[in-house]
Amino acid sequence: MLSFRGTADRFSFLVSLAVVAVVAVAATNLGCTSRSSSTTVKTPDGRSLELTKADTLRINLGSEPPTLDWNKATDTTSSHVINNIMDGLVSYDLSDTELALIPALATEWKPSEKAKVWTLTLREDVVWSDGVKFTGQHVIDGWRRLMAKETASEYAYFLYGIKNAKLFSEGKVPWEQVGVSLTGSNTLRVELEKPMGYFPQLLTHASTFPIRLDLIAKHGDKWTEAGNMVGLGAYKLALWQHDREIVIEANDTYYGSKPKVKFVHAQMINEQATAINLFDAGKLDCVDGIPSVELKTQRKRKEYRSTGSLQIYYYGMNTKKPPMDNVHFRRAVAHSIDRQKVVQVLDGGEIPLTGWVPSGMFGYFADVGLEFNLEKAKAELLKAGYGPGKKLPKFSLHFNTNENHQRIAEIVQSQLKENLGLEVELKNEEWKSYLANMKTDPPHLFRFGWLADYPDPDNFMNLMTSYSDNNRTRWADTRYDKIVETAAGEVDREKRRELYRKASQMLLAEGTPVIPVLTSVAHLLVSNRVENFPINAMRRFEYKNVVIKP
Amino acid sequence: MRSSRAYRRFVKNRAAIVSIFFLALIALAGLFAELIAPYSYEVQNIDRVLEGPSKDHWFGTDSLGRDLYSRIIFGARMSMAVGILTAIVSVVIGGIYGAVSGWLGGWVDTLMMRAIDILDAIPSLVLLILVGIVFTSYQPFENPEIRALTGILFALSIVGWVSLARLVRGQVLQARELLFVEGATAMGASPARILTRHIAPNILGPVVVMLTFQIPANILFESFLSFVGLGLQPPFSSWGVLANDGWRAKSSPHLIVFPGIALFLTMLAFNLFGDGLRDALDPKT
Repeated sequence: MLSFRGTADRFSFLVSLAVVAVVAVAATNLGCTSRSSSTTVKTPDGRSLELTKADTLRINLGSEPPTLDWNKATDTTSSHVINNIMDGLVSYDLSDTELALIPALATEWKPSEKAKVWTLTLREDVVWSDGVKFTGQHVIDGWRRLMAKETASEYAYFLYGIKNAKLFSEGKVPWEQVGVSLTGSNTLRVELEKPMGYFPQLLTHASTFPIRLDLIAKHGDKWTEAGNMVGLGAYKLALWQHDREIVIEANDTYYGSKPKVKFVHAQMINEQATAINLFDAGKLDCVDGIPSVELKTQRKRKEYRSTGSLQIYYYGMNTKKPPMDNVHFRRAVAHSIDRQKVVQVLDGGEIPLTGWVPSGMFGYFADVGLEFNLEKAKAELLKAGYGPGKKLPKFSLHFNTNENHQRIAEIVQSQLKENLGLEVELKNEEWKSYLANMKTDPPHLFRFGWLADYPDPDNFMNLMTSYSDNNRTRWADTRYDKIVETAAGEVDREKRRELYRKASQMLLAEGTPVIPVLTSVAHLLVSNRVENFPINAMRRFEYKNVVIKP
Repeated sequence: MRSSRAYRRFVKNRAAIVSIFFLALIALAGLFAELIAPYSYEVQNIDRVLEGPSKDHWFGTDSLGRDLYSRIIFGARMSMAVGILTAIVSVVIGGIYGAVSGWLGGWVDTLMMRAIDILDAIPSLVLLILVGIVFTSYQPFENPEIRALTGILFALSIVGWVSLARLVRGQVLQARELLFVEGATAMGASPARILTRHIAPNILGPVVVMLTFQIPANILFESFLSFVGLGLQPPFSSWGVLANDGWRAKSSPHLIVFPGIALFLTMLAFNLFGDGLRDALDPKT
């Protein structure tokens, strides 16, 4: 899933003004926007909700979620909300460090024919938040919509493991031939192309959640608005004031144990430093993402939490845009980035990464990809046709507005200049428009992160296939696709590992559309009044078990 | 001669003289930054990030180990250029527009003021983003600093002169009714002469006061512009950029204190200079 951490700001100018006003006195305790301890909000259906401090978990999303349509959402901000208002067939035990699978809408999942066919038993006692009974058809509707060409979901490839799914997505076979069927009122039979032991893990992901086609038919794109949207989650969407705030409230019809905290109030504060100020003032219960310049101070606090995360930080290149269309040029860029220095500056426990799978996961290799090597970088630049006396091309590096991304971008900019003499222009954009531009016209060099949707290397390798719409580099290699597909179905662990090594090398050293930089670490602040706050390597923020101390 | 009297009055104002020397010093430092600054504004030393003031780095280092003192000196170039040039642009456009509108009055005045209202009604953010799009797709200059400067000037000349035009118009409307202006009109003086010789000195005070507030605001505004793709982009330095980066790093106060002091002193100097100028030029004293 596209990961975004922290974000953009528009009002920093005003804040700067405020700062200069107070600088004569002190540089601390900037005035911040205040919100009283109890807030009353009006929902679209005319109710007014009183969000008292004792009943409300106050969080910061960092930016407006690009969408709440779970067939279409691709990013961490959107899934932060979706994972609370919806449940999948299968779920993770977030209190378990191994993230064991636990039943959710499905009570049971059984493999047969060596994990090529899966039989799922669905719960029969579940109703949607509007009272409609949940059925297996909703699951099938969701999967069909996910893969249908007209939905244009970037996650369409997610269930390509299912028999004929890819062909259906390409419009070559009718839905009836796809290997999904209801056998009995509550049994779902799924036939895969190849054996796939991790198939149940896919069903934890938002893109595979059941969907209500009747609501989409009724409201069109507006079905995700508060008032229109219904869900199966522990919470339901009460209010979505775009670019401002989201309120979710406990869902009375939820089949599982009811959430302990009645409301979750999510603000969209772009500036991480502002969020920390609000946290200090007791107006936020959690800050996700700490500016790296503040880490040294913040990590001494008792509210500080951190966890290794199955998330990579990388730079992608648009391989169709000169000069990035030249593979030698791309390799020269990759060879001239010194990840060790990036990690040293961030100083948050991040791990330099040349491979494509995050460290701490099966399929991680310390020795694949293009390492920092000046001689090789210069040789590749020469091969790319930029010999002595030839003018070096200018290009731009884009990132979504965020203090940490800017800091890393400035280091990379300076390294490219120092090592190869390349002039790189930095550009930043707010998350939603950044993602939108990434779809239509990916820039030369751009920052991205990828957070595991399920803890299997396939999730990372799959991302760069020619048919993955989350691959923004426009690089395509059918040989790579083939190896990744074979590896997904390989049951022998060692053989599978070797296939991934081969594919990684092909991706990173031969094609080089992407340059991995590091495996991320999540840094958070969590208020002392909050217990059971979900902190896990997959950064799934599910709030149903959170308790607020009185 | 009036002007020499004004000059004598100005040089007697010690605060104003100190201020103008200070501003000249800052401007010269910015202009010859390459010679003065001990380090480059862009070379990073990641082994020494976020250090406080020391012998090697008088003002400490920033989050990428760059020398803050050098970045402030290099930043002065952009900040002073923005401050002074935008002031000139505001005065020229706003002054002429306001004077014409106020002097002519009637339907011309109504029309010109409604035009301003319309311009004012468009949120400046929207306007600036539009300018940003135009400027990023059409880039006449290679040098990134000059490119940023032209973008900033263009953006500020669109949004910045409006309040000044309103002020000048109001002042002209008032001054037009004064007896000596009526007298000059009766004696057949041309409108241009009346405006420059009789009205301008009378309205200079409020204009200068407004400018002394606008210049520092514009210097800060520049940092905001980089968010819409118009201002300076890293690694270039300006005081606005430094202040904007600095306020975030609460645990490294030197990052906001030194640029803040630079901004504060400059703001003060502009104010005192403006005061002196107003007192010297005020025909009533």
